[in-house]
Amino acid sequence: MRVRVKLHGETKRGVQGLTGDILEANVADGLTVDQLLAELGVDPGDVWMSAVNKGVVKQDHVLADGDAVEVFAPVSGG
Amino acid sequence: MASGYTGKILKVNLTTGTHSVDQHDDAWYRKYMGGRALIAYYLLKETKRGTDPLGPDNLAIFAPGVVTGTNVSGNGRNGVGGLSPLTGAFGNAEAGGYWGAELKRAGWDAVIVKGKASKPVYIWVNEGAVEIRDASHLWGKDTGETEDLMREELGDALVRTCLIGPAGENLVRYACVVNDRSRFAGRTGIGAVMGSKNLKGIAVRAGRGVLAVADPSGIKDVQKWLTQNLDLVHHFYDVGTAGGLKGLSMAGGLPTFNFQEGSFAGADAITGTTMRDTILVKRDTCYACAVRCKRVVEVKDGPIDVDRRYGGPEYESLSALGNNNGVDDLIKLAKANERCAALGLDSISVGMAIGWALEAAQNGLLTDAETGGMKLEWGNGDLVLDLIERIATRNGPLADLLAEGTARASRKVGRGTEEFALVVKGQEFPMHEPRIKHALGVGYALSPTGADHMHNMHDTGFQREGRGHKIMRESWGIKAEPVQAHGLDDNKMEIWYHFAHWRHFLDVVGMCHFLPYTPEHLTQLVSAATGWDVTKEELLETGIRAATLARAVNLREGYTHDADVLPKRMYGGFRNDNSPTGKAMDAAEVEDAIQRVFRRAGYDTEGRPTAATLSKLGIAWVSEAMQSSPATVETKRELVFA
Repeated sequence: MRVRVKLHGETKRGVQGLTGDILEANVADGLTVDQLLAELGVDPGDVWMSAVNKGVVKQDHVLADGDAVEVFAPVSGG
Repeated sequence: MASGYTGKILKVNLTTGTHSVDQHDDAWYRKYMGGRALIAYYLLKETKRGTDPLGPDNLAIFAPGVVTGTNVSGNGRNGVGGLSPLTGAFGNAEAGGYWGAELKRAGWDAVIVKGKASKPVYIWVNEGAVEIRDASHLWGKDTGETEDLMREELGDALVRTCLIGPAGENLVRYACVVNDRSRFAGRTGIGAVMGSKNLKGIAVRAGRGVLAVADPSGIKDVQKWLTQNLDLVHHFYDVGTAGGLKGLSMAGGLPTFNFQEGSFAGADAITGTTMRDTILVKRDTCYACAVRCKRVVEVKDGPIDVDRRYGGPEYESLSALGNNNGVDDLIKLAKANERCAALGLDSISVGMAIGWALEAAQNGLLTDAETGGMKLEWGNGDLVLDLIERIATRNGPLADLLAEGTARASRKVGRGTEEFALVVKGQEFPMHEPRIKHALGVGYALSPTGADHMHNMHDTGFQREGRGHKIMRESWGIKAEPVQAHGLDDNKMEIWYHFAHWRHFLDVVGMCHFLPYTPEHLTQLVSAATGWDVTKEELLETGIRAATLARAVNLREGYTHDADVLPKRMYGGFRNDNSPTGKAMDAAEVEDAIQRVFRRAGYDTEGRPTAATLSKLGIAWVSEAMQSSPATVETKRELVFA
């Protein structure tokens, strides 16, 4: 299946070959959000929360073909 | 020979027009180090209980720390402080930039200003020379124009400035202090303290001055580590602090409509990513810092121009002026940020004060006499811009009311508007929602400056196993398991205790909170700067000492333990139930967590540090200095919202 992933903040750290914020990936069916992030090389310690199709999901949420995934890091000030 | 510090503290009396030098021994510097601790020390020693924050006997203190001015990323911080016109007690904020490092390199560890000049003045510190100069021609001018004129008359384009704008002159209780034009010691209203003294600012030039450090190679090693690990902070460079705004909105933790809701429909339009892709023209940095996180935005050739010389908005400004007031126009928010910088307003407190007024109007609780006939509505960027201008000059009844801060404004209006005052000890909430971060809420209740997000812990940063847990375990030997999203269990509060006090320590020595240094790095840095053979435990204790000194100021000024509370809204849900991850806090649970912090810190159940604790911290003298009186306690009642 194919998913679109937008990485925010430090969640981009460690993802090889990423030039902007967004990537599209062909991945195995039945993958969870956490499994997807592991495949992409995202450090789980950098992740606070994820959303699929604009709704907050748990990290063990199972993805479907065409899903738009967003991954956020914690926010602490500014 | 002193290293890391200069051994000279400049004291200026504006009433007499004289100055002198305070000197302390090495043991004093090792105990207090600068920043928050130095500020609290002088407030306890040299102001009396009940001193009017806007009177001549208050102090305006400018205090870098022992790391400020060293050649390492994150060093360019300095604290400002005094008795706060907003909270009536301990006032303190920090800013980055170049001014603090310039002051150290000019040969001064701090500047302490007392008294009141008979006419507007500024202080010119030219290496060792100090001069009080007329500022009548600068009074009323924006911070940017003031800096230009000061540099012109001093004949040196490299002069560094620390200034107030019209807001400070007009004694707006949350007027900020602006250094280097685009850096802000925003909170607690020290800009108004300067205004009350007729002090427009302090100009500094170090010439060829260099800060002596004990071990330059030790500092170089840490800088080398940072430059090899810049990926840890690349997001600050890339999208800045507002990079997380959208995530907060999706989680329901983005303060919206004065914390009535947690998600904002217009969030996408005002994120750090959108700013990067539209109006960002440059990234700026602070003294010797490789991170370059500061935004520089510019808008030209349209109905609204935004001046790049004032930098650009951080998350707090975008959020307080934007989503908190329902505004999703990035250009208007960038303009609002620019005007806060030019006028010298704390963008958090002014945004929150406006939000309080909008909610009061939403409920029909403001009279025409109070609003001056202004039409108050959510989502109106022009209204926010108009109110910013008016508040800075107290132009009109509503602006004059809001210039007093949310707490005093709501007490004056009454009629139930107190329910909309999101304050702790008189200071408005910053842009972090305690109902998605319960320990942060405890931190708001306990902060010596009133609600604050910086010397605090953000629960969401510890929910998933990561670098922070590893540091907690390896540096402090605590269990530090991933924390629950809600609640205040021992695991979470033990992390809070170490994290928050470590941040107090960073504010003492002048180190940026955003740098990814470990306690071991800071131990190396402080040792290399000063020549002291410090341990990380000693540094943590320095943070605990600073927090305790600051709390002692508050105790003296009448903030008893019943002021360590959160406003009612935190104990309820969100309007329209629009926070997917938020959960109401529980008052009994908050009090229980606070009591655990008190026990851990060696305070009694009323939050007073015990004699044994003060003795252990080497500040037994504080026992006498923190004594309050029933009359002083009474003065703080109007600023406590529970």
